[in-house]
Amino acid sequence: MTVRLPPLGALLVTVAMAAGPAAADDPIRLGDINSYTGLPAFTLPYRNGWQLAVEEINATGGVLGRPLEVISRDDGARPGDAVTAASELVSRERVVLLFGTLLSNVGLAVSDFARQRKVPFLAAEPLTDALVWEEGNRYTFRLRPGTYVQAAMLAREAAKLPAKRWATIAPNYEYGKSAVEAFRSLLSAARPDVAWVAEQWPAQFKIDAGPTVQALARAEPEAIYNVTFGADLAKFVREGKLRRLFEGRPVVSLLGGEPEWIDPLKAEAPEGWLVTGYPWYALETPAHVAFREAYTKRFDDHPFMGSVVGYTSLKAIAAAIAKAGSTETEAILAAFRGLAIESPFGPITFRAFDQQSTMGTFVGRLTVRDGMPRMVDWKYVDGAAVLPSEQETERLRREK
Amino acid sequence: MSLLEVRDLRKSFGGVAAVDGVGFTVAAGEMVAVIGPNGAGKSTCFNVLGGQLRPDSGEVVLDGLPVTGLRPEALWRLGVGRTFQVASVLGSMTVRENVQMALLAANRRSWSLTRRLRNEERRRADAVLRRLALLGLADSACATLAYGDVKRLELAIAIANRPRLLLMDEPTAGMSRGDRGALMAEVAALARESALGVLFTEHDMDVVFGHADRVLVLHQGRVVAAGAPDAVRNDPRVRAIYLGAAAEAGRA
Amino acid sequence: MSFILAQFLTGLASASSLFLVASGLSVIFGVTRIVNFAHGSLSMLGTYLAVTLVPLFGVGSVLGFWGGVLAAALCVGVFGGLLEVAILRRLYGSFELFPLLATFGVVLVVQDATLALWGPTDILGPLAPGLDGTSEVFGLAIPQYDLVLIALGPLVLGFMLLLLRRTRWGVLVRAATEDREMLGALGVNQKLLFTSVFVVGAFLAGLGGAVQIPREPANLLMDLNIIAEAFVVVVVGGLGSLTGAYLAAVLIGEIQAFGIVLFPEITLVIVFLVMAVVLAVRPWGLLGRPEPVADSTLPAGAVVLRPMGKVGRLAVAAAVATLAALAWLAGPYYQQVASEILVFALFAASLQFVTGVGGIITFGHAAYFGLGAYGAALMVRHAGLPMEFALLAAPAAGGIGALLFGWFSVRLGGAYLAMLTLAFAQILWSAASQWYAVTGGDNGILGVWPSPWASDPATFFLVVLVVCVAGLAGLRWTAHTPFGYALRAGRDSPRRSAAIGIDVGTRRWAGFALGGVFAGLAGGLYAFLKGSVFPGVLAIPTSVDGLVMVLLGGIQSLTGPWIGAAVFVGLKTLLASATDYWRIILGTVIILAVTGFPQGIAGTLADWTRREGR
Repeated sequence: MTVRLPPLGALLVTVAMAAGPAAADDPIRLGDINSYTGLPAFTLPYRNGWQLAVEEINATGGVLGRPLEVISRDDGARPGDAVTAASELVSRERVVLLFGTLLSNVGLAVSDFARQRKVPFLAAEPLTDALVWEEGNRYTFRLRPGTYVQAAMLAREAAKLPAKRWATIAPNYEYGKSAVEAFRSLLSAARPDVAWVAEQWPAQFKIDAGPTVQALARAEPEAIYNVTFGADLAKFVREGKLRRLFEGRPVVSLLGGEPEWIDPLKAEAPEGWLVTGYPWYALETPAHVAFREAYTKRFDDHPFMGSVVGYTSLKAIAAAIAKAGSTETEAILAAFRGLAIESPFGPITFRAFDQQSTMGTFVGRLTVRDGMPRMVDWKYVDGAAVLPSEQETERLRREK
Repeated sequence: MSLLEVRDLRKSFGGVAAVDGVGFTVAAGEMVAVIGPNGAGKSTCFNVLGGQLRPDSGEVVLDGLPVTGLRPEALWRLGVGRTFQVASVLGSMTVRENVQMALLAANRRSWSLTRRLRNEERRRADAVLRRLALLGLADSACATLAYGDVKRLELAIAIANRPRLLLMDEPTAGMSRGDRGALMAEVAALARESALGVLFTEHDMDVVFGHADRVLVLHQGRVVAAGAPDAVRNDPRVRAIYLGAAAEAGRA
Repeated sequence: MSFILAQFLTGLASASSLFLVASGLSVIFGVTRIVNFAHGSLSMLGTYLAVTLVPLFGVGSVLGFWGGVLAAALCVGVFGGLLEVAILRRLYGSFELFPLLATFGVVLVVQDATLALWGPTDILGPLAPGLDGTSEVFGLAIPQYDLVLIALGPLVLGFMLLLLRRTRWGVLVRAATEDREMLGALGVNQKLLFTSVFVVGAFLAGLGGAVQIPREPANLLMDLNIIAEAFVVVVVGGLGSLTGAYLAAVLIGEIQAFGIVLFPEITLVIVFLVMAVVLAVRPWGLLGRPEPVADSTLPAGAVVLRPMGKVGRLAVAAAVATLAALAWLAGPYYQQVASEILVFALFAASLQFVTGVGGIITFGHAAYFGLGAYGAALMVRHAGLPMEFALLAAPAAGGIGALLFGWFSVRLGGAYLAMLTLAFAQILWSAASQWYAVTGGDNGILGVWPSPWASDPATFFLVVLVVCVAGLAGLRWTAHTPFGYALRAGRDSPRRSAAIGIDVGTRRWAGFALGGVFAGLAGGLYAFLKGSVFPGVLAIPTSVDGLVMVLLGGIQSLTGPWIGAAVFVGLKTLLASATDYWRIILGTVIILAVTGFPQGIAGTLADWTRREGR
């Protein structure tokens, strides 16, 4: 990461800096924003990911003959601060595009800023689909599969279960709400016989786990759909096991197989849960093996989901600039639309009509091996197979 | 007709009667002292008259107008000024601003948003300050005043709006002996000049017998004696329940 | 039936956890009158220490578990004592917001220190040996550890009551809680007593955190998660009353346990709803004693309002001219930062008007800032109005909100008022987070950009400059009018004010509402500055930021909030773009500022110039 101290006193008495034409060996400056202090567990692996990519690209001559330089900023998990950071990156640091963000509202704030200031923005991690559909704009692209895609993958698997009485538990905010809504509508469509018998909406990171678990158990569901994560998930799992909520009940859990989310539970990870996630230990495609080895060598740790997203984000940006042949906004936007690259998960494309990438994710079952949570029976589901069609997307965009 | 007429005032707290059927009058220009041992009901009586407490029953009539249970704000506008045992002034303001504030509030002009306070009622405020020899301190912050001056300022605030009745709870408490006499002489002069009725409580018997026109003795919430200072001083009941003890204390 | 009993028992277990942390807060507040914002941090440290120490003492052994838990709590107790000696001791008897600000600095420092020491990943602690299953109670399977917690709450309550009733220390603590002067008369070494109270309070916080390890992984969000609820418990119970705190914890635990069954989506607001209802019905909590609106504890010296001198006028004119010049000289980023400073200066000034001038200590000023922001954003997005009209809606929304909530709040004094205002802000926050159809929920309202003529950053900056300078001048003017003086009179002495015909209650209400108007205006500008509005504008951190700015600048000074906002926003922006560890630096700066310069920057400057002048 590049750390740059702005000159003291510059806040009040700055003189407009005349930006000279970029020299051939001037680095191409990219602006990154993420919640590094607010949610470090999820964002630090992401930062490692793009750092690795920057090093790889610069080692092989950079892009358009110029090295890449990333200027990284913390948004403190506040959308308002993210907009300030974005403004700084664009006007003072003169970055050619913005990328990053994890929290949905931060992603949306930056995306709207990008629209207003006409800067390309690659939303790396936010899950909300409003970014590309309801609130989508021509400057914003998104890499990671959103809530809808992930929920759809799980709903397909859930439809194969015999369970008819379903309960849901999700954090009480937009991500939880849309994750439940997508899953419910897709599962109900596939299985009209399914009934929704209970729902719980704990405040995020403040779950009162005991009463919540009992309230769910009282409805005697045959299966449960979980969206909680972080400390909430650990509390939910412990209380649920203790109160035998999961006995004889399949659980489907969004993102439950991503190491960021499930590793803190170690040997207590709930076995048998159907999850989306990232089996970094078992994915042996050449592209992934190369990535995993490079990452482990560089950071002395295994990659997380965020690492893949960070790495791929930067690779995609580099590819887009190379394809554009310039760092002009319109050229980059045009290059991004339809851009196809190789990711550690395989080939992905940025769909031209909604600017969402087709990056997919893995669906499998949780188990515990050597005291750590692991996914088994997993398969990679390509985003292209689950994403709504162009017509469907048009409808979503019009509803705005 | 009396300026203040109090009839059968009662106030109890949790079944204990603090004021138990008190009645008396104060005439314009008259200085009436209320004395009595601690717990006799003086403070309760004062707080009822000043509007800080509501009586359980009884009547308070000011110049023919029933004012029982009115709040302090209303009483001030009807011409009742008040000083407290521990002087209460507006600590973050200057001496002059304190008096200006009192004058503006009395005229319901304290809601104004269109003028600066500095220039409002300045002349009248200065006249009051001059009367109490505080003009030299007009621009000083209250917080920097000696306690004797704070007491004088409180008096200045209380009389700023030319009240008809002045209620003073232990006006000289905490002052030096010399200051006490001066302050009370000032009050007495004011009372005579502007037909101001003054009702005060006091522990210092020199102040009471030196300045009061009449003395009222409270004991266990009732008036046990009332009259001219000399008559009260010689009343055997009063001597029995009160003066003896106070005289002892005064000598010690 | 059995479900109800089971839910009741679970609610009791949650109540005990809550009570343990809240009890320490209550004891500390009762004796020292310090609102310890860092209490959640102490509890978080207890959890982190426990997940570290218990394995050292031996996983799986009963002695190891409880020994580790106790050791963790003791460590936190010692840490609390150190905090008291090093920082808080300097702040007794000062204006009640100073300790709050200092402990907020501690929160920031502890957050970063914990991140540095334990890393970003959640740490799941071991289960309690022998207590990791369920037991049959009335035919119900109840987790054994829940039963331990259910017992622990009343046990600690009983122990504390015994300590307070039967020991000399307890007598002193009660004396200090009930009658400060008596304490002096007893000839007590007050310093030692206060330190010991802090140790005990911190120990309880640490214990409350440590016993959570079988239920909750140690994580970096625990501090702020627990502190708000602990405050609520203490206030609902009645300040300084331990029994009341326990009752309140049970009330909240049970209402939460059953509330989520009936209304699963009520989780965001339920705690604050309970508090608002209790305080509206019983303004001093369940077992608290009335604490009337009292004379201000602001140091009275040298705070007389004076019209700005020639130098001051010149300085302000120069500052405004310099700022205006930024529109031509600076790039969009500095214009953005300067705009943000101006907006927060207006917000802070409106808070200073309410708190400093009016003596109304509010923890929920973000409510009116947020109402302004949402008011403006809704006008743009739903009514399709341009910026000019939306900016009129903002102060109206802030003012109406403040008028409504103020009616309930201003009749209370001290900490109760602060907490009720906080509750209202939280209720609004939860409404904004959940009312998707109108507010867009957590995804906020996007596309709130200035009208085309003002969309250029430099032009919009000038708009902000003009509006904010006008707002700041308006607030300053108001403070100098009879209205402002009467408001301040009510702060100085409610008794004297009433005796000269000022209706203090109505005046406070009006002052509060006026503060809401200006906060709303600031919020409206903020919406257009950021282009979007999210529920976070209504949340606790926004209120705290405002307080930090006011106190940093100097609560007594009308100029203080301007300086405080400039320093705070400037520093934060600088630090955030320079280092990931900005919180520890900012926290340290705040602690040093409060302990070293309690009058704030403006107050200290004024002092210096006065001294020079002599």
